Amino acid sequence: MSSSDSTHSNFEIVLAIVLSFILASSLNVYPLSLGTATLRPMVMIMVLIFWLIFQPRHTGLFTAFIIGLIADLLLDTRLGQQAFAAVAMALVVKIASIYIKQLRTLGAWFLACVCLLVFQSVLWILQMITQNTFVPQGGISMLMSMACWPLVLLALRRYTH
Amino acid sequence: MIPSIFARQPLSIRKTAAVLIVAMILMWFDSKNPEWFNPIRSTSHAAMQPIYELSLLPSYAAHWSSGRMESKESLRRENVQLKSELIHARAKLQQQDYILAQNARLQGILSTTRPEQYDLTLAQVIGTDTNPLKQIVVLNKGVQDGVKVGQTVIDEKGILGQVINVYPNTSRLLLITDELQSVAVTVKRTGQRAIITGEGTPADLRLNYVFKTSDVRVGDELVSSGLGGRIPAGYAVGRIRYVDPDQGDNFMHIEVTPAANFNDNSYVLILQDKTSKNAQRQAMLEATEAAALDELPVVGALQPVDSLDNPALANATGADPATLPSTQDASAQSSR
Repeated sequence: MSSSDSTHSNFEIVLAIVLSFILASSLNVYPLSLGTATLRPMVMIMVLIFWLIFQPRHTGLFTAFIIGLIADLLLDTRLGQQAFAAVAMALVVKIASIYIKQLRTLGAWFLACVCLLVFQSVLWILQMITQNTFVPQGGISMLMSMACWPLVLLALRRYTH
Repeated sequence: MIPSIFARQPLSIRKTAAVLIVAMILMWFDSKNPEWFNPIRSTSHAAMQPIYELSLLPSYAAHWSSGRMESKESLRRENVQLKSELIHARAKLQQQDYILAQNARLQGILSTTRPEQYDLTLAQVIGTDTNPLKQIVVLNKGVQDGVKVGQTVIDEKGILGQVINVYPNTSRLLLITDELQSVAVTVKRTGQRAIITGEGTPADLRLNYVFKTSDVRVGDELVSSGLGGRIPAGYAVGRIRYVDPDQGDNFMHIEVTPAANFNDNSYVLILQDKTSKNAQRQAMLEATEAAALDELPVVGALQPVDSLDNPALANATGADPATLPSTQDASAQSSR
């Protein structure tokens, strides 16, 4: 992959982050038919994972929290649920960053899969505790997100460093 | 390969714990006082409106292309079929006219109130809501077609639900299969009253508050009784699938199959009060005139127009469906 070595300015990166989240949120709420709605990947969380891994200077716990809150509002889940899960996931990325020094495509994908698993598990546990419900469809959505994550990587590869 | 090196950032456990606690406090507040967050939720739904608007395009395109691609032969065949269906429907209507006239006479004798008259607006389901826990779909008709919060939506077989949010060209429909929805029904065979509640899945309903001693059988049809004041009387709701008398409770455990098709309905009908529709049109005309005069900013058009309705209804069926439990549901809660 021939990615240029030029570093992006702060403004450009922040703009890219904001725009990518706006696009991801619109993909997240786009009405789908009843059959395909369960296959919908968690686009916002996928994009969040990308930025957490590749731009830790600009995104961190607070970004995860805010994006989680926005996702809560858009998806009509209880306020704070996805925010909690997203912060837990951000912590996993931070811990991983201590041990991993160099990241290849496959490694990033693997880390993203772990993140998605953590996110969905935390969400499941929170829903069990606070609402006493279990939504198995979340698993399908998680697997779809895992499968589609390289697409996010491909779309945003300019900002990998 | 991506030549990326993690930038070392300090692992701030304290900050993480603080943020997690804030999230937990928010969750707690939302579970105790969900109405506090209604303004934010309605704003976020209004922000989603342009995306819904955008999602109308594929259905227009599909409609256009199907109009172009279909062969003459298949259209002719469909036409013949539809004509025969129309003749059958008209034949049935003849009898219904007679029954309606008789009904009106009898009601005149009993001096009861006249049943309400409704206009039917055809709408298309353009998608589901994003939350799998909620039974909400998006329709392609909005304020500009006279849709209002609280209007009942049916398909050709039975009741689907009621409208909870309206936007200029789209609206959101909460199905009766949602856990927060209840419909007052009567058993068609015996006239017994009961309340149907959603289970959160598209193919299940539950019939509540039927005593063990009452006469209820598998296969009994249930029609809306109109007692809640929201959903008009006389529309099919479901059919009893299973009755379990062996429960330690006073009431029977009854499962119901909904009459309407919740899985793959693409066209639905919105019941609109004849008088209110005209009033709504008038209000819309005035609003557009005012907008033309004042040159209102575009943002104003994105706001949900709940306030156009009578305020009591708007309060009860605000943006958040969590606050929607109808009057029957409230009474159900208290008697539990």
